[in-house]
Amino acid sequence: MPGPRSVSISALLLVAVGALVLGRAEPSLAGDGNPALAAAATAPESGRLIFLGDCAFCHGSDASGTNRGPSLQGVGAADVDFYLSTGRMPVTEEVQDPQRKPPAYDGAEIAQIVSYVDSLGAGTGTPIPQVDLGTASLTDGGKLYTENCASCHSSVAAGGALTNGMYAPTLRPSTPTQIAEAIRVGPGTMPLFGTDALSDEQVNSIARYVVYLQHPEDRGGLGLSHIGPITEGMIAFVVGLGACLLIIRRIGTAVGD
Amino acid sequence: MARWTDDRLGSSAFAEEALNKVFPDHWSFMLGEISLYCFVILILTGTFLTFFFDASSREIVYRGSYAPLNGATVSEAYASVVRISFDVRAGLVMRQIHHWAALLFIGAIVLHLCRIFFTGAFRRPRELNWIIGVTLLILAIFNGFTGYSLPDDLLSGTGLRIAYSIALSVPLIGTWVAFLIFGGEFPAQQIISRLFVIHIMLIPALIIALLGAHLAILWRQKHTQFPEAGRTESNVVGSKLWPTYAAKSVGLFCAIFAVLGALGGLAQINPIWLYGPFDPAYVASPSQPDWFLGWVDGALRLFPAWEFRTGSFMIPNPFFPGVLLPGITFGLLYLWPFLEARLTHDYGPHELLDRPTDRPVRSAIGAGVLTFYIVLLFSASNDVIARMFQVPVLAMTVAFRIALFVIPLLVAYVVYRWFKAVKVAGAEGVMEVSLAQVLHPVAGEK
Amino acid sequence: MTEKRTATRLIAMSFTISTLASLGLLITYIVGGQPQVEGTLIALSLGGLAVGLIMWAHDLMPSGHFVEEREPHQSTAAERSSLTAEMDRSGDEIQRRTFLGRILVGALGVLGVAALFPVRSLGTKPGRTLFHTSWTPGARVVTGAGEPVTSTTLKVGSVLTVFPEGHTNAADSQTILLRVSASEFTPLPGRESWSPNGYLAYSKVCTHAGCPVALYQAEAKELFCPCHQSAFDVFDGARPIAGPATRPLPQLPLAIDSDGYLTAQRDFTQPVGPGFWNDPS
Repeated sequence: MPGPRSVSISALLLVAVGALVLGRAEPSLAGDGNPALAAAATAPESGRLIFLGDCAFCHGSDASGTNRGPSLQGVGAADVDFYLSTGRMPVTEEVQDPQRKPPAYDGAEIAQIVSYVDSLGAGTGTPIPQVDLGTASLTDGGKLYTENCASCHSSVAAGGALTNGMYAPTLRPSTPTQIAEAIRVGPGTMPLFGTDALSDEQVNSIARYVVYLQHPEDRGGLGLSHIGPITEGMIAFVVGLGACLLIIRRIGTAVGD
Repeated sequence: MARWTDDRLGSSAFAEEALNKVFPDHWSFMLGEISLYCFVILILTGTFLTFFFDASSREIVYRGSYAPLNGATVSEAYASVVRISFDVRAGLVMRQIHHWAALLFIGAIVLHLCRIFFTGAFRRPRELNWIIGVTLLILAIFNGFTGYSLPDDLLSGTGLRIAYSIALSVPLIGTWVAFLIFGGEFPAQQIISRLFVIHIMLIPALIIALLGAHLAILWRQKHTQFPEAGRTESNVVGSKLWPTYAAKSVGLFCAIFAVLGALGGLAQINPIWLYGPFDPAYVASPSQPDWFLGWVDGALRLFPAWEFRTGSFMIPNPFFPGVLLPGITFGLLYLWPFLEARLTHDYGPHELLDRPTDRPVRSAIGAGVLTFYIVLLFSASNDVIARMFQVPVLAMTVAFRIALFVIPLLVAYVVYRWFKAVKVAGAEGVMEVSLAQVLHPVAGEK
Repeated sequence: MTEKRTATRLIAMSFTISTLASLGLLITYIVGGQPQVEGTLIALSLGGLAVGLIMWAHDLMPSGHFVEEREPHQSTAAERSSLTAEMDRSGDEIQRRTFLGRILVGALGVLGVAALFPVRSLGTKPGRTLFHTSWTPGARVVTGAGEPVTSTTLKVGSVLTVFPEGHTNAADSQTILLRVSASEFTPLPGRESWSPNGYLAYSKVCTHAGCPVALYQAEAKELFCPCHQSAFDVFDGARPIAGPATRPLPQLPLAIDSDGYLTAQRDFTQPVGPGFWNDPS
């Protein structure tokens, strides 16, 4: 029986589709040159349009939140940029722990939305961190990563299980900016680390180490998904002892031979 | 050559007897040899590693070719293993062959133990060799644990902390046991060097001595064999030691070495440079021990939050899965030949083996118990399974608790019915009975 | 005959492959080594030997149906009684002297016990070591790097591993410092002064088997241990709510001194970490 909720969702989808079509038209009007710059110039207005179309239903038309979604006023550019650039937002239904998926918007649009939402706050909230991998220390990054991140995200940034059906995600697809944003913002159930807890230099180092973990040094051969003793044990039995069993089966006789 | 030796030792008669000695050829009789040859390879590769490993917890600054650790403060033990892996020529392949060989060594012992169990080879007069064998299994597990704890990395150090807590949990003497083994409160500085002595000297010496006895007893008692044409309780049928059995055996050694060489060079194992050095205040998830201790870790995860208090004394939770369970496990293993003799009222000697289907009860018990430990082993990976299949981790714990009792009973029942049907029908093998025969066993022609 | 010739040829080929692979190993080593190449060449070298030897045994050597008779394991009755007689004869002097024998056994027994005592040198006396950590009244809270924590170091929703000043290597003193929203959090009775400005500190050593309880879920306010999946409720005195842990993580009473630095009021009120026989908690 279609209730008011399903009707509203259909209406939202219609509006969303319409807004997406409209919203997508904007950047192409900017012509050549840096689309992001040109877009940012008209950002508050085009960002506002996208926001009203795609986000307002849950977050409120003034981003002050509804019972479907939290307030975004004052969360800061880093928060919004993180959720949009990792595709966690927008979602078409309420979900406790939004997962990474292909972003719904391109870089220019994200910049516009971020600019708009940021303008709704009182200038509080975390700005988008400027990550400089060049000055970062891989060794410091490794130590800081082990101390602050590995317990949830694993030694090799593969992610991990938490309670309440939640997961610390894999960091394999993360960009340095996203890594820094997540550290500063603490999305979802992740704790956050402000500049007094981890300096910008330390965050740069962690980002550099995570980028390294995306292609770790596997001098020993096949990485076997870097899960650890579990896969090693399985391979020992299936491949190692399996091969040995085939060999002794070949060497020896069977009953009835 | 033979003359030279005979002039000094009078060895000709023994040599001839040895060369002519007959060994049965069944493939399952070579499982013990797999573990023996893995042990030889462990000693060869291990000796190489001892020349480069530094068993010291002293902190130094790592300077080597692995860039992400350059300038990091680590223990000398850890630094030496990173150096073996990156800066010692052939170091990494030796290290990896060594670790893969350890996993296969214990696995082959378990397979060999299963073969002995399911064919009844532990019966008189071989109870002594069974006892020696179970002891070898315990020693192998301990050596595996001490071995992978030597690099002092984050993963194995976590395991040492758990071992310390298990020692602490022993009633009355636990704190003393833990403090004496480790040298003080965790993490004492002495543990790595102590583990080194245990790992390269004490336990290998015991293993070599017991292996020697194990093989000498086998030599003296002669190998068992399956009841086939021409085989009786008073003969041995097979190949002679020289040249055939020796050639096959040396060939097997080379084959195992080849398998381990392939694994050691192509499949990365224990990449401690990715785990980082041990620090008692930090841990990474997931954290598992090597497979041969997975059953204990699984038990620690599954055992409910029960602790016992009497007055001002307590028996902490880890005691039950960490001390009691292994104690009962190996206690029952040791006692089994005597238990079975008593239960079957069969105290006589046996030189002929049972086909597993000849003994449905024993096989069912063995299969059920083996399944129990396999479920425990898989339970240690509950968090990895949860992450991989996006299932809540605590739900996995509950599922494994249920599985721990249901699946072994199910397996035991199925094995019992199946083997009973095979036995009753006089069938040649387990695949030679139909489902109908399993459900309603009918005596067949022999 | 041709079967044997084919077998001979194949065996020779296997041994040749093995030889070439071994030469390859030599060269690989000389030019600097590479693990994957080394492993593959070892496999080929030993594998060639294996295939050759096994084929030789299987196809060319005499096999299978040799028979050896078993002798009974026990010695004959004559041998057994001869042994008993010999033991009686030569052991007579020892067996007669029961008194000397008893004193000897006693002496050996006491020597054996005394010989075990050097084991005591292996470690320190547990004593009261497990009953306290390095936290003392007024000790400043510092990070692992030794930097003091102030009342503004952490934002709400943040987490840090901390130690008492001067004891950043004290494993038993590892503490997890959180900041929660003071308005959302109601301290347990008797602990109202322990969490100034929303700063909460719990021992990081899991009360189950001692792993660091390092996973913090800021929304659910849960501390989670990765080893055996114990979970602790941060808002309820770190009481265990899942997994095999039975006792809560001891809470460190905090204070903020006049310069704004976080300090401990005193040590934990219970032993930290896993239980032991005379653990009073």
